[in-house]
Amino acid sequence: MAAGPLIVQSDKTLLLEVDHDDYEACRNAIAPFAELERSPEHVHTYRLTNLGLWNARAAGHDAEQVVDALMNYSRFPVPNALLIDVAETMARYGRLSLQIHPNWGLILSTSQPHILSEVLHSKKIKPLLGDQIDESTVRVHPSERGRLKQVLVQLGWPAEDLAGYVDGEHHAMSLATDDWEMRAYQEQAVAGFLAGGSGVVVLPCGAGKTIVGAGAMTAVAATTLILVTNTVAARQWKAELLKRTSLTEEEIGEYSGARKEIRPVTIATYQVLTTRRKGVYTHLDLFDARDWGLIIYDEVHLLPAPVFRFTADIQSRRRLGLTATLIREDGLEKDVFSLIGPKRYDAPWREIEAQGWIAPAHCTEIRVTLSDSDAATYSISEPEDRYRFAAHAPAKARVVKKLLERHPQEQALVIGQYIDQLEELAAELELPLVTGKTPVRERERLFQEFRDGTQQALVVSKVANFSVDLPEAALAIQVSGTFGSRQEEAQRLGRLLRPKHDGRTAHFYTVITRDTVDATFAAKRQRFLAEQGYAYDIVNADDLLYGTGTVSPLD
Amino acid sequence: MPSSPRSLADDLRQRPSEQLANLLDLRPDLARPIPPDFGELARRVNSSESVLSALASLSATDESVLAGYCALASDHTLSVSVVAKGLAAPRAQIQASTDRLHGLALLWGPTGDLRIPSAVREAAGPYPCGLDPVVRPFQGGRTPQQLATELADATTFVTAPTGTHELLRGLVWHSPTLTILGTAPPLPAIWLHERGFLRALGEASYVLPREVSLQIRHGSLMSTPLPLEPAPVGGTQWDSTRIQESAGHAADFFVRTVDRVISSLATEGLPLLSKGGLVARDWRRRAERLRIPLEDFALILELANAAGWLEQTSTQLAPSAQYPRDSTRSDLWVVLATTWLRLPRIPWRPAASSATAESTPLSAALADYDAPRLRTDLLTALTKDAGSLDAAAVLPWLLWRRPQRQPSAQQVNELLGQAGLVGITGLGALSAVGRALADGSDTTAVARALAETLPAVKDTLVLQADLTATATSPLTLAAQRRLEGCADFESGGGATVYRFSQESIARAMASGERAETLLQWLEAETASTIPVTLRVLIQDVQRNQATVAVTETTAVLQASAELVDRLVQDDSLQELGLRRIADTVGIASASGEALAQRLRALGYTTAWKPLHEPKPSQDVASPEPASLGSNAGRTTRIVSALLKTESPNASPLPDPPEPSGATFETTALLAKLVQARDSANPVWLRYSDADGLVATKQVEVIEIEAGQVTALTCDTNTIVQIAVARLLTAAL
Repeated sequence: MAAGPLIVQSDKTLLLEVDHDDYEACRNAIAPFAELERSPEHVHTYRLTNLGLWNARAAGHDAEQVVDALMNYSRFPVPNALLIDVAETMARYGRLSLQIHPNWGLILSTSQPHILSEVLHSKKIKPLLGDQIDESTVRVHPSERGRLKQVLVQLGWPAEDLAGYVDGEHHAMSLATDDWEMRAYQEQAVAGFLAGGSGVVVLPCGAGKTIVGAGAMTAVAATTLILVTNTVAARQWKAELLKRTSLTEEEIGEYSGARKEIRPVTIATYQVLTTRRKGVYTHLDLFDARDWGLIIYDEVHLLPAPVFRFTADIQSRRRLGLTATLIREDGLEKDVFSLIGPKRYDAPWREIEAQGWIAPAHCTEIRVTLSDSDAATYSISEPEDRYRFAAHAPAKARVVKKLLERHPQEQALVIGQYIDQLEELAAELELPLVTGKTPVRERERLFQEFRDGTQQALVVSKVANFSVDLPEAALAIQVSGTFGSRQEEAQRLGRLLRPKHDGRTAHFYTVITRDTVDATFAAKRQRFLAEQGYAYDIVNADDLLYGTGTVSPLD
Repeated sequence: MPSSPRSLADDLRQRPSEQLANLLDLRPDLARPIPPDFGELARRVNSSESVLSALASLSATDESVLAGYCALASDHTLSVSVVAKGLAAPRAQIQASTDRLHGLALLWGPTGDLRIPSAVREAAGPYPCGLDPVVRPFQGGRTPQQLATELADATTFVTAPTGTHELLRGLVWHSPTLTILGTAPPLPAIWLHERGFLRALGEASYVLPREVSLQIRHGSLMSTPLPLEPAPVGGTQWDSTRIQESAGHAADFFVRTVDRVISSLATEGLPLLSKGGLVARDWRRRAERLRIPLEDFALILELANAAGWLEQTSTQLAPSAQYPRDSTRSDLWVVLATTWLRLPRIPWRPAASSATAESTPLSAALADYDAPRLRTDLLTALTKDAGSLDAAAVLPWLLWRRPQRQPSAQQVNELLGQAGLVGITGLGALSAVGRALADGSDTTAVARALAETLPAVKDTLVLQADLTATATSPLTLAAQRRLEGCADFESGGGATVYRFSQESIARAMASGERAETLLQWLEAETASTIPVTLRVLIQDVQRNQATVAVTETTAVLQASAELVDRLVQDDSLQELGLRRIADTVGIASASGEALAQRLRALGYTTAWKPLHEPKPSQDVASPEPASLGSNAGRTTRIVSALLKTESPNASPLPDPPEPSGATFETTALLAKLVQARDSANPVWLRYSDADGLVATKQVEVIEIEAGQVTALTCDTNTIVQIAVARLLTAAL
């Protein structure tokens, strides 16, 4: 038997050995139908899901290709039940289809009436459909197209959407690639998106997701609505589009708390869209303000619920979701896929790093110890207060100071969750503090100074967790976080991943209090990054502060 | 040369012993209880219950041939050629069917004059092959030739009323009787009756005479050709090596999964319902926790239970001492596969609707006594083609094989799924090992064949920073158990993935694992290094772990740290279940006495200090449950005994032995009987007879079952039953 790089497990996980000669070829062969679940240092895990197999069918791959890929690269015999399951699952796709009929408009039709009859028995389906025309055709309420597709997926009969997308208002634009060019993975991501018409692109922080957005916009050449997390991010998008495309100031509008401009390319914040007046989301009208040809959702993992609901109503428009960490703490990852579209591109972080497109990073956990009296106080504190208490351990400040001293040349961010803790740190370290309360203009000024190098370090709250572009940041020290949030940990590391001009390694330190809930949360937070291949070193604070023992990771 | 048998009993008496043994194997109901003589055996062979059960085992071909014999019995001397002519089938085919029917005693007598047991005729119905069995002289004394001429002459039917032909066709190929429901018979019936083509049975019914029917049929007994064995429609043809490898991997994974289930039950049993069956919520949760699909989990529990590896207390299901933990993977598999083949149950039945309850594993409602037969048939069907077969491919064969017990496509699909899961098939095709199993090969040979296809084990772990341990080759069961104890199973198949967590390591520490030994072991098993995060996690857990751990043990071992180390790591001492609990202390699952004996045998000076010194008290240890051993050779013993009943013993019997050398105690007495049975040596029994008097008999033991010993007396060659409770002594 060929000693292939792939091991196909009976529970539909695929284990791919990274150091194998055929790794690359195998990855390319399975990527169209298998979802990358984790990519630690030696063995990457992919998973076969119904949705992934149906998306592969939608993209023109058939069961035979999938079976061939699995059998060709598998080290051990592929379980027969799995092969049968793949064939049967893929055969379910497209038995139902959504089409535009010249007389009846949007219809759901099939060549096998018993399938339609089966799905029509579902209580969830009925409200989404209109009159039944004959045994194999039923009308669909156009506004329910997205929800219908979602429910059909749940019922195991995914519909092939042949109704097409609204072209939207044409708006010519092109990429201004005079002094740069798109990277191969960015081109693949754009191509993946265009092939499907809608979907999500997952790339590490700093890997140039905005460029992927710009690439999609110029390819579609239509008016575009871009939804971002906050005003700072909106302005960064604008600046990037002005730099990377033929778009001019006049063609790009900002729709935020501060401005309400609607232009061929409009960048709106999630915050303004979800602002309610007298219980009504007044700004959701923005979706109908123009005949948008493309809607881009930046940081799609943060997509708020009202926008989610509205997305279901705009299924006829092209949608592109961008994210680095598709982990939703509310567990709605599946909804992202079914409403925005399936994952169209994903790449292991370490692979992009190996290509030199993101900076290498070294993660270190530094453990401080509570004094005996603090440990006693901790042990009798209420469970809900324990994390705050542990996160505030006085020794953390000394560690932060020492780390800044050890990396005197690096531009540094000190990141935390608790404002009082950050205020104390900012005062002690004599550094500016950026929190949600800092006015946007002040924030932008500080970030700009940081980019220019006039400000070498900042103390920041979670406002800097994402969508803030600070290319030269090469050192981050995390003193507290949102409990066990894996996504936050990854986003914070992401602040450091813009490649450095001299190719040096970035350092991400997380300072935790040992034997407390702080350490437990830290273990949970690190899981996503560990699954991306970032192995943490663990160092005792005393070794760092007093030079006892080995502190090699710091040197 | 034996004379022609005069009766069924005579026929049975004259059959060679292999034929008789075959009959008892094919119709096991005939030998339960063991018949005392051939007269009783013949009576059972001809009982309607037994005949119906035997008929249900016939293939469509054999069923038709038997119907042919029944249809011709009234006016023919039955032989192969007569039936071959009636069925218009090749003689060789009829001969093969006839041999099988004769083997089942559904036919008896010499080849040229076969007889049908009366119960078989009754079961065939009053009109076998749609023919009136009664042959009567014809109206006007017409000969069959005259009748044929008349029926062939078109003018005969010129005056026939409309509907005569249709009525005649129906009577010829369906039921030959016509019952008049109205006040007067229909005109076609009157017309046919007046010309002698229909005979009145009473006032309101008619029957088509046999001769008329046969003339119209041109002598044919059936309207359709004899159903022949269909070939399963072959699916994808795979390279044989791939099939064997695939099945080997499946078998390996199945054995491992069963081992994981048993380990899990050892840690925490599964609660049972008082009416039988597992508590639904708990077994579902356990399946989820073990990451085993529910239907697979149900099958594993049923098989492990049927194999005797689990035991049911009044409240829960737990592993029994019978589970041979140290057996090889192939030996374990053979037990599972043969148990699967014979399992008279389905593993699980989900609720049919929200109003009905599901039947969880081990509940009485899951009994299905036809299941073993269907499994055997399925394996036989799979032997017919070397490709991947699905339900659609094998159903026609199964329907032909047993037309009276037709399985549904869903049933067949479920069984094919089970065969794939167990590893009897690979890529949907029967493996060489599966074929050996289907052929009824010796289990040792099957185990040997399997051992060659099982993937090689290699205890190498890939430890990663995300706290996973991946074994990219199958692990030894010992390594798997150790990992199972300190990490959570994530995924299985060709590789096995475990994930360490604070909870899993704490669990390991609670059962005696130490950070140092665990790290040492991981260091030895990993191809790279232990990630810092994992190392620190293990050390952290040990530091924070509660210091009280409770564990069960039977023996404690104290020695120097080095010696404890050496003993715990000695693979040859695995059966003692040695584990270190402190530097200089180890515990064992074996008894203290066994441990001491084993260590002494290895040359260690060993002091054995029982917790309680045995007291010379009056206490009598409760006897170990007696093992009645296997029932192998039962059929042969019965046949041999039956044949002996026909020839009274002429040789003088020896004198009975003195009672002093005999066995009194029940367990030992049963052991003696088992020994006598298995060695086929006569045994002297002293027992109290029905009148309460002590009797002594020398017997050959045939069977020990349900509190009764069935045996052949050596003096009179009669088969007798004696209650075990009445036995006083046994001496060989």
